[in-house]
Amino acid sequence: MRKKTPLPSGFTLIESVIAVSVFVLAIFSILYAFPLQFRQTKTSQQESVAIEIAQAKIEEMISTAYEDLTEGIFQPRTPYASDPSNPMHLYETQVDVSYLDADMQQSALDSGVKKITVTVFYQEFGEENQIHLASILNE
Amino acid sequence: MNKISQQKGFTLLEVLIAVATVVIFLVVVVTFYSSSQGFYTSITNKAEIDQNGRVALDRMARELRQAEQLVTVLPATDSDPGNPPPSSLYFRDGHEDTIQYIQYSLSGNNIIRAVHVYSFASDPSTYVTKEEKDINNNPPTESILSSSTFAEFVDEIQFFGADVITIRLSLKKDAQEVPFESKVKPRNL
Repeated sequence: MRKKTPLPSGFTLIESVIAVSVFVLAIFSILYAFPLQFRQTKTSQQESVAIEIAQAKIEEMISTAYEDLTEGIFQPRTPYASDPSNPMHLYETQVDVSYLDADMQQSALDSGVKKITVTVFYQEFGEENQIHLASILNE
Repeated sequence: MNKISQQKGFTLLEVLIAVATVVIFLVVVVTFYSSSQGFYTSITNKAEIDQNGRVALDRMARELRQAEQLVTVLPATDSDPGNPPPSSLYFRDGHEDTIQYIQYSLSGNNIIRAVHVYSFASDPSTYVTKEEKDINNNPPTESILSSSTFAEFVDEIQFFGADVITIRLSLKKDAQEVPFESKVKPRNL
């Protein structure tokens, strides 16, 4: 009598579908890390440029005479570079000046100390982002 | 007894499918590997030029802020074609107790920072200003204390501005280009 051939042992459809999907999932999760990394690098680069611009504005304000720094919105929001071809045109700045009292608290009156706040606005992947930098000047 | 024709093996179709699967798999792996290499390189380059730009700008701004005297005469704006902004800057340092001068210049794609000092042969260890004259009305001798690279991948650098000095940098590596700009109000001028 002929021996019965053993049942063919292989993968079932379910098993192979699961195996393939695990593999695909693994590949895609690794691939996803790259654009994420790319965005983060871009974000930190834009932030560095924005901070340098904010510092530039602070330096400009420091060179302004104390009494000329009037309280309120000192410079409304404008592009940092007026020339649209300049890459810095994409960064906008606003300067606010406020009075501080002897305890470094906001005050309505000028008691000899002014706070300059520079805000830099920029687009980051279609969303607006901003950073603030402040400096304190005395008379 | 088994006949030879009854021996089990792979059919041609099975072998073809197996080879095709392996080839597809290898192509996917190689593509994935090379694209991740490309990504990695571009991200590393970006991070590297960011780092270089930030460090160079911060360091120059800090030293320039304390400058005692600006030797390079800078144009007021960057838009005067008759007087373009220079790519080098020479100024008297305000950080050290001794009198010394700092020079930034662009050499290839590197920013070189050199420290210059002036002295008379009669007393070489005492540094004087470059304008000083000895008893015979001779100018002092200039020597370079140190010279080193402090930023790489710099494509362009410009200095301009009268009261507030603008430092403009553009860094480039492979296809990546990043512009940087900041301003400094020297406190001692």
